[in-house]
Amino acid sequence: MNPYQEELDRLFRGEMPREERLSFFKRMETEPELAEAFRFQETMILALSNKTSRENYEKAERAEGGKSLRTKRLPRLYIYGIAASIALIGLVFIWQYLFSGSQFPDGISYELRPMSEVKGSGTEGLIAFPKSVGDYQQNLDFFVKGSDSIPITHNLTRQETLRRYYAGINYLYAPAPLKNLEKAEKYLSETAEYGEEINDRWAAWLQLSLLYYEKGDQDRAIQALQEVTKYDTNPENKYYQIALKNLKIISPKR
Amino acid sequence: MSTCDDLAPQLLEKIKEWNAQALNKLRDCYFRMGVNLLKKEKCLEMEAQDICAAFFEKLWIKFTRENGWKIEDFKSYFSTSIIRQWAKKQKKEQHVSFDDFLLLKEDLFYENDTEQEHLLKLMERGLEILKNKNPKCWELLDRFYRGDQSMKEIAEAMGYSSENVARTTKNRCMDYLKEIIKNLDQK
Repeated sequence: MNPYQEELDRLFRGEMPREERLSFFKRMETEPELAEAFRFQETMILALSNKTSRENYEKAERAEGGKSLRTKRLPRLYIYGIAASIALIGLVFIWQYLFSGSQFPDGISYELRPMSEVKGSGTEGLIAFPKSVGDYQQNLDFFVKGSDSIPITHNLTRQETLRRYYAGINYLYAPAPLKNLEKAEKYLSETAEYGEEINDRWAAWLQLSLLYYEKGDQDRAIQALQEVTKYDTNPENKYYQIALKNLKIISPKR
Repeated sequence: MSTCDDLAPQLLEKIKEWNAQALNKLRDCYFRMGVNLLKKEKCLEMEAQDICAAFFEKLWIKFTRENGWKIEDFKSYFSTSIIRQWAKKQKKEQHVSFDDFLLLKEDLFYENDTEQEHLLKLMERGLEILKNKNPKCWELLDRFYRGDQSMKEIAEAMGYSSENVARTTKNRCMDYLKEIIKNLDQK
């Protein structure tokens, strides 16, 4: 436990008298652990406050009919442009998936070995992006079976996360008649909600945005992208870049 | 009943005394108004939230550390500041194409991109993880640090047998959060 906790709590609740406060800050000059604890707590309080403000804002807007997310109908030509961009992004994903070997669409830490742990030895061939309907079917048989057998009562483990994610994208990208947007949405939403790591959840939100867009639900596509950008505004993060770019494309034109 | 505008001067004075709950109350009063104001200026919702959030972070840093700050009309000051910030950001964007914008190394939302800003982002991610992995911990910290509840009130509301048990749990939750942040930072 942090030995300075009580003092810090008093400080940040405005309960420390001025004189004591000044001597507290003076001590920080010679006690690096105190300075570190102070910094941690101040940052936590600001971040907590920031996060809750955003959530409260969104709740309030939704309560008033989701005005903030309403969008205008886009002109046909513009839609073609968006569709082309999305297809391009999809192609980039597939390209990376097929040829990078160690990377799954932009960011998820993914290697062949952990996947073989999911699936059991000798089955790495299925990891490559499916080339035929048969491969999709094989993938779905495996991932869906694995996903359905695990009820969600907790945050997903690494394996559970990956199974659901793959089940979702296989349903999303498979050709007819295997393609099933409802099932894709189910598995990707579960990953987005309960995925083990924040990067997994962001990847799932990005895929969900494409899914919603394909379903013609532009509001939800925007919401899904906002989930990615809400907590990371680092321009170097690829998730952020893709989400922001897509947001600018699909949000109403200024 | 007091309005936000009536309360603002008192809240600002409390912020000078390092009262973080006063900052939360001020945010609760004006955050939504600020975001909607920026949206009318054709700012994207997400960017508007970022600008407003940055305003309150800067306000806290200034008011707790620098003497002599006095804002007569907080609402006007807040509105002017965020609109100015939005204008500044737009001006910067005009000089670069969108693709270039994505590749810019500097963070346009936070001009003084310091280590503090990095920590803040890290903390926001850490809190998100905490909320997902241990919602009770999140609730306890939120009640205490944001909601201004005493340990006694929290113990009663959350079903802890005593104030002390709630306090010990809070300290454990803080340790857990530290671990999450440490892991995130290493990544």
